[in-house]
Order: sequence, then C-alpha cells, then structure tokens
Amino acid sequence: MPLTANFAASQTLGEESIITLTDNSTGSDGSVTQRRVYLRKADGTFLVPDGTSTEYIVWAYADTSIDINVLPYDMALQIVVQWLNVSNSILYDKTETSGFTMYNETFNYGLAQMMAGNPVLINDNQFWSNKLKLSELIDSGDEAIALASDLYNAQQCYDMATTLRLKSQYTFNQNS
Amino acid sequence: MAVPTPSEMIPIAQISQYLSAVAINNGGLNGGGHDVTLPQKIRNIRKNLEWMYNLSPSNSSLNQVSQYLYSLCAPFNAKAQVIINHANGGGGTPILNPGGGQYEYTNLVVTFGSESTDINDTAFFTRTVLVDGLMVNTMSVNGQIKTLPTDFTFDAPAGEINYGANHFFTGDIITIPFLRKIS
Repeated sequence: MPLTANFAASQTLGEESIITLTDNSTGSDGSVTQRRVYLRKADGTFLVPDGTSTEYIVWAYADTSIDINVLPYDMALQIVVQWLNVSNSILYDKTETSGFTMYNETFNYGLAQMMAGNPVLINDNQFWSNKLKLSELIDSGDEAIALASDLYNAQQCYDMATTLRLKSQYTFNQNS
Repeated sequence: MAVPTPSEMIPIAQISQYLSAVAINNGGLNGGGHDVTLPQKIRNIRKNLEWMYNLSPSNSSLNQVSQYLYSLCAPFNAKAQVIINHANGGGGTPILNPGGGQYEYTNLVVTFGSESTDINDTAFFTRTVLVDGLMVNTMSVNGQIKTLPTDFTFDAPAGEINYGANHFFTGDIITIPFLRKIS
C-alpha cells in the first residue's frame, strides 16, 4: 500500500510559541528515510528555530509528531512537509496554510476575564472598541486563510491584532 | 433557575444574541431602551467562551466568564433557556410539544476510529447522537476550530459530518457542541 502523505498542525493552550505537527500519513513506503518541514512566512522567507542553518526543519522519520518552538507572535504560515529517500529526493509532499493565533486569542480571552472581574469595563469605550477590533482582526486573518490561503493579508490582520496586544497599556488601560 | 454551566451557556448566548437583535429592531428609536450594541457584546464574549471551552473544557476560568456572559444576556437569557428546553423557536411564547421536539445541549467528543463505521482517511463520519441535531456550527479537530460551512458540512437527517477536502484519521479527537434531539 503506497504512502498517502498527510499531516496536521496544532497549538496548545499556554504554549503560544510552539507549533505541533502530527504525521497522519497512511500506508507505507520503505524508501522514505527522512522528513523535512518548511515554514514559509507571508514575506516569502522561511521560519526556523534559532540555531538552524537550513531553510527547513528536520523531522525525524521515527517521530510521529514534532514540537517546533518558533513563533515570536501570531503568524500565517504555509507549511510544507516533504518525505524524502536516502538520496534526498522528494517522494511525497503535502502543503497546508494555517493561522497560528494562540498569542492574540489567549490575550482576547484574558480581556473577557477582566470584564468578568470588572463588569464596568464594558462601558469604557476605548477598551470595548479595541476589544471588538482585536476580535475582528483575528477572525479576519482566519478567514483570509480559510477562504483564500491568503498569507499576506492574513498576516496584516494578525499584525494589527498583535499591535493592539503589545500596546495594551494604551489600548486596554492594562497598567491602570 | 440555576446559573448554567459553560457548555449550557454557549447556546443560551447564541439565542440571546438574536433575541436581543430582534428586540432592538422592533423597539424603534433607541432600540426600545435596550443597549443597541448588546448583540455584538454577547457574540464577542460568547466567542471567547467557546474558544476556551473547545480547547480546555475544564479550565478553571470558564465559570467566571460564563457567569459574566449570563448576566450580559439579561433580560433575554431566561427566554433563551425556555427556547432551548422546548426547541420551538419562532415568535410568541414557546409551548411544550407533546409530540416531541425536545433538545438538550451536548458537547460530543468523538475519537475517530472508535466506531466500526469510521473509515480511516475519509472525509466523513456518522454518529446516531447527531441525527436531527441543531446548531452544529463548529467542531474542534485535534484542538483546531473548524466552522460550518467553510470547513465542513452537516447532514442532520443522517447525522453525518463531512470534512470536505480534508480527511479524518484514526485517533483524531473531534469535539462538537450542539443541540441533541432527545424526543
């Protein structure tokens, strides 16, 4: 039975910088000896962990999943996984486009917790309008990925959301 | 009436959102005294609650956010609960339907491959509990949120989820919050 290459990407609550890839391939091919992962950003460059000298990340073929600690903030990524033989020839490959939004989603949920603890916050026009904007930007980025695999515009949405998060002392009065 | 749990609160908020939108629209100038941004507020906090609930159903912060959302849904939360209990919808006061039409909120957790009908590397699965279910709008596949109709479709009479171009694999954990038909 030939290999049907496939993988899934996910994130875990509380581990915002980590992307977990799981190999869901079915079948088998004895020629496959190695696997590589390319994480292409919206600007066309490749994202790799510190200390990696190649544009790809080696994913040991014996491992069903890999945790890649690589995200400094939310990103839209095109993920390419290649299954190769001993001669470095690509036998199979699979490409997925994903939005990784754990930083901003977790922050957005934290804002809801703040509101639960201090209900009058909803009457703070700046707080509330910025919370709405944050939610819309995350959703818009997700839609750009889901509907059009549009890395460029998704990243712009995520970046604007990230700016709201990083400037929270101004946007959400978080130092008051 | 007891304060709903987070899983019960999600459909209450979904229904309160449209009840408040209709009340504002029918209220004329200034929304009949209702906060005209209430549907937006309910939706925003409900999405936060759903996000955390799908990732971590036992997270300790859920109750606090859920109770806040419940207060935000006032005065529509009570009617929303009645609508869910009787699943009649529509205008007017919901009535008991002795011929059936009773639903309850359920958070279905499926481990793909646990039923003999699950075929590895296919785009669909069926569960009896999903038959004639309502409000199947989102599902979580291994922690990733998928929405209908962009990511999947639902055939209510057959209780079938179809993942479109994607496939399910043995061991996938699928979570679906929805209204299960109980009679």
